[in-house]
Amino acid sequence: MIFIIRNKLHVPDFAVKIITVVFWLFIWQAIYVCVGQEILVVSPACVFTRLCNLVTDGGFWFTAFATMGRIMEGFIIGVLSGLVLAVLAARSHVCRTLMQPVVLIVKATPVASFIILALVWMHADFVPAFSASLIVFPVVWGNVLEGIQKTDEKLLQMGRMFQFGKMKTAGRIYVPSVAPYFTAACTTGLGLSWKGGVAAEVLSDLPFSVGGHIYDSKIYLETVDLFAWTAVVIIFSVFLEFLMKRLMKVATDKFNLNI
Amino acid sequence: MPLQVNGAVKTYGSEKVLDGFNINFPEKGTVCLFGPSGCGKTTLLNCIAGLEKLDSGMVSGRSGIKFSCVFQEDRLLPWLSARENIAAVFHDRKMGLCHADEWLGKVGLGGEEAKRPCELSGGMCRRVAIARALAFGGDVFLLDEPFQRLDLKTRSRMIGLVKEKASESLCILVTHDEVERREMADIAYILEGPPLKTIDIV
Repeated sequence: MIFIIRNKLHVPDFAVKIITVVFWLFIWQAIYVCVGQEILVVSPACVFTRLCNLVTDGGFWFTAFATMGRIMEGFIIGVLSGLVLAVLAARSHVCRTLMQPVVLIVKATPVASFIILALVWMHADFVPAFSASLIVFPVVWGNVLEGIQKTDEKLLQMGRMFQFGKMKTAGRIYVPSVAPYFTAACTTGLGLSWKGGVAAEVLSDLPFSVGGHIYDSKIYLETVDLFAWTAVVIIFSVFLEFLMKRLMKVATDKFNLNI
Repeated sequence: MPLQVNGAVKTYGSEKVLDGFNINFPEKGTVCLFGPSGCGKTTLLNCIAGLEKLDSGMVSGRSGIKFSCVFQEDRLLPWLSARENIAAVFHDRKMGLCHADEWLGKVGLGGEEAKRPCELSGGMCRRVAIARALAFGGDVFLLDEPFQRLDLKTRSRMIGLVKEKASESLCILVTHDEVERREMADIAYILEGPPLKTIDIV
């Protein structure tokens, strides 16, 4: 449905989305045709067929949910530790100075180094969660700390003038001020945690894991499987991100946190 | 003990806003600090309220005193409705909401309770800020250009409300508006600066 409004072409949002998907599928198909080697690039149709085969297999869901469980575990640990330590860092200059080099190191160190170190330190089962939490932690820590530091000093003065007390100042001023930073950190962190978690599964070659299947597809040069399992990661990540945004929206509406 | 400021010194960077400033306030009545913008009136008010620390000197007679304030900016919580903004200054939420409804009615905002600051005009936000300060009550009202952005009729109504509520309290009014000074002040300190100094008392 295309409408012409004041001599301008107006395309509805859903149509733009469909056109976008079709456009990129077309590009993918074109690359597939140009390359002409299934071992390098597979067609969208092949991947779709393989995905359909996978989802009808009972083992697929067990594997996908096991991976999701590990990643969500790491994500939650990363979010909670980032949140608590950011509050501590905001309250104490000493804490902030102590944490800054740790956060800097965690941010700058390649994920693969952490995963390999973690494989030395702990059982492979815990490595994806550990890796996911390490990726999420600095994102949440940095954003929440920034949110606290950027809380309007004039509103804090107002709170002091009207004797808000610590709890009310936190609930009425800090939480709503930090909420947009926290939401942005969680959204970014969720996508990153999937990347880190699946990378850890690949390097750990865990049984019942999406990463394990990606590793196998590399070993056996099953490019269709590689594309299909990667698509699974993307679909789960996008779905969870969508779900989290909805939850955050509900929470911000319920507690009057949105401006 | 009446509120006193003795030898107040406050510096921002290289600029001395207060340089040994002294002022004594009566226990009640309206004292107007009248002077041009940027002369240091707001800084003095913030130091009296304890929101900013003096570099040296002191504000005495502050202990046990309940302050209420209309800030130069509205300082309303943008995520709360007008009603919730007023109720927020009370410990008891239910009581706060009752007071909020009462005071919003008094300032002519009955029916606008559920609106957030972004949905209200500048003048309406100002009235919410005035209502919040008056609803909170106190021994000392600090009013920093409280009637700015209000039309003449509304300003006159707000002045009446402030006078009525603060009649038994000390009211420190910061303004550069001659009409407000004449209508409200029992004593007016004519100031200039920075550094802030008294050039006349009327």
